[in-house]
Amino acid sequence: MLFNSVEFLVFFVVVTVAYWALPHRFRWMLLLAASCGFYMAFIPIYLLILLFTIGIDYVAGIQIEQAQGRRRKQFLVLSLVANLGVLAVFKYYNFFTDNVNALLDSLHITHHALPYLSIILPIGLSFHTFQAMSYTIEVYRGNFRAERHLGLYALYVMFYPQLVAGPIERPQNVLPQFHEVKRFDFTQTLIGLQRMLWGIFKKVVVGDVMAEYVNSVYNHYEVHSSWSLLLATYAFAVQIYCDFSGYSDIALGSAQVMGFRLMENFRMPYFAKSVTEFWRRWHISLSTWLRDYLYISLGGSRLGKWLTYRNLMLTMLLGGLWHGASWNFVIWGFLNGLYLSGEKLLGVRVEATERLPWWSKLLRIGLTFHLICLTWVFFRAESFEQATFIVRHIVEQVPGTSLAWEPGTAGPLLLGLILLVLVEYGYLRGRNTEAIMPHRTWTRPLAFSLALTLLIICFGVSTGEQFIYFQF
Amino acid sequence: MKRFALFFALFAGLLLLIDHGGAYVLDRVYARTFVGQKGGILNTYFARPAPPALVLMGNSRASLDVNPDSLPVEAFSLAHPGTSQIFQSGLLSLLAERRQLPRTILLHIDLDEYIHPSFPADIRNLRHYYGQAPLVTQYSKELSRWEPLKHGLALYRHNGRLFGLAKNQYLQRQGAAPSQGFEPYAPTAQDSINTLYSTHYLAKERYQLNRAHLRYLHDFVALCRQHRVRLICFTTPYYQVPPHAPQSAALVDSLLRREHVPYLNYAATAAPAALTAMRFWRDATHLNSRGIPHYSQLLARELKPLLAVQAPEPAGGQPSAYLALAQR
Repeated sequence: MLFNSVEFLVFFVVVTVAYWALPHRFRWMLLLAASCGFYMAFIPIYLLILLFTIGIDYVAGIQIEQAQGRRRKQFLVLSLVANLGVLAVFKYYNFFTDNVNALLDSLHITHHALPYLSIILPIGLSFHTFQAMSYTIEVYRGNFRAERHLGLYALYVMFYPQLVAGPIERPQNVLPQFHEVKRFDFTQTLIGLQRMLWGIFKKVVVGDVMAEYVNSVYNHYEVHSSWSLLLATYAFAVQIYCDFSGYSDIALGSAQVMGFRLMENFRMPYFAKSVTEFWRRWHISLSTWLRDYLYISLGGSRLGKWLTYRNLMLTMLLGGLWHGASWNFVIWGFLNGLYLSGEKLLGVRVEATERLPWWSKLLRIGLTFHLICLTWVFFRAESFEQATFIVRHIVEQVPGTSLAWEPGTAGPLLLGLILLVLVEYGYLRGRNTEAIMPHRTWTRPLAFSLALTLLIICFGVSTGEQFIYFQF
Repeated sequence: MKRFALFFALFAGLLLLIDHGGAYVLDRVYARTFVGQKGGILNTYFARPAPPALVLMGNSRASLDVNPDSLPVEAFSLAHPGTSQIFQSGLLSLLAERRQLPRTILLHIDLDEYIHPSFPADIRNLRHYYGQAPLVTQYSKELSRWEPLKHGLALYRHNGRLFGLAKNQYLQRQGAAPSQGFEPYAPTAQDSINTLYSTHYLAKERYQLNRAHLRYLHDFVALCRQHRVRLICFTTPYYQVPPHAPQSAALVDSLLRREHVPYLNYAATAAPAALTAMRFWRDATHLNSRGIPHYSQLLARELKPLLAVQAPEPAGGQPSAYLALAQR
């Protein structure tokens, strides 16, 4: 059940109306049942995997809190092994097998080849696994008291707005909200609905239209000219932003309609003046997770210059692998690690860039965008060979076919891009969600919602394209 | 809660008002557009006092490679770039519904279609005619069970077409005249590069035959038979025959032979002698305006004897199961 489908619209309306109609004590049951239904719409049997890790983490959380000494660590390890074990089997086993078999093959050892598992990756596995791990780690660190209510803990992992593609929440932010008695708030509901519309607009009017161009070029990359490849790479940068931040907007908006505040996941990342700043604005819930639970655990920047670089590289390499089991994602992580280490070496400070003259800011924004685009080539390409071919051909300026942008495609795209920059610039200036979602009077939200709805009806791609981050 | 209900009622009311008002205006603009794709050419066709003797249908290879004026009888091109067989079958269903069927249809078969996954979403190009042609409605409903709900909003039938419509209107006001549907590509300096690269790509493409597409061709043949329209199929040449062409052609031919439909396949062997030079090509699968006259003449020559033969009477064939379903 995709967020950009009519199925979800019906599901959302039914669940939200029922949610407000029920007394507080029954609401968690409704949300949990709805979340189970939402997850089971993909592959029903995979619900068992979720229930397995929920059971282990729930017990581990309570035991970590109650136990003393080494036993606390043992329960933490049990929780981490269970979560990472599920990830290893479903996400990384075939990648591991592929590489071991290639190695054995190169050594002419063919009779010991490892068997492959014929399984489909559970949707959003990396997201809810990381969210579950953040719970036991926070309980272990003493930052959060273990949740005694199994149903609410299960809801923390399974809350349908953020179940399959984040934001990767922290227990401190979400669990207390499940205990609170929520009262219907007109303004919050309005802002939430507008945010959902905005997310759908980004996804189906800008992202999916960009995707059509990107797919036509990247699927036939060998025949395209350097300019076509470069344009498609820029288009992919816009596509992935609109796709993923659009998803996050729908997630945050649908939670807000029910009175829940989830963490912000994006803050205009392509306006970043350095890669370091980019990572404070892009997929914030993952970058802060990696910072809090991996980078800092490795020692962060406390252990000297060289170990800081090592920690940055390791964090970003694992961040790359988090996305997918492929060498392209490892390279994507490596490049990001390299940029971050380079900026550390050059002494780039995010706060200092704010005081630079406008032309210097503009130059840095351009440079950062291009550095990020280079990483997107590896992210989008289906193989290492394809990615290097595309990068080489962009640099060498080779001829090839060029795809024309027809008015039917370019028109709505241009319109969408202008609206995107205008609205999100307002967001950047206001620095909060409400800044882009007018709500003080009836006229503005009405006009904003009507305009977005009409744009979606007239220009939205209605084929129900998958969200890119669902695969992770 | 009451405040929200009031807000929502206001929103829904205004949306319906704008939706229906906007769709009314756009429908009128659409109906008065007679140039370009996205409806213009189709409107020109429907505005004719009587259907032409022959209608050319297919994708860009039919619309760009064949000049209808070169054919031996009065012809009109309803070929639409970027479409597949499902679109052609839906369009034929619309022509039948409007009683605007010609005596003969010259249908282009793109062999590349039969090595790719099906494109059922292609029928959305005819969403303007949802509810007006049985096959368009039926294929759309098969696409998604929510399609009828989406069509509850009148503006949805203009989804993705507004800028194309605006361009056509602009061209019309600038003096562009309605045509018989033929819009060739002028040669450009990029042509030889396009031809080389796309030939290379086609030669390397991995493929798997897709029989699912035959269903739409079957519906097309059945509809022609039901309305006693003579059907002739053809495939335009490639610059170089790609590896998949013979197998795709055999698949298509197995159906066409069974249905006694003549099939002129110019993709079976290397490009006809007159078209081997690269200067005639826009890319591996399309001719430019230098190559079109040569190919159109060749096609016209081979069509002549086929058009001279009396159209076969329906051999007691039943409409396809899908067609029967659509007619219920």
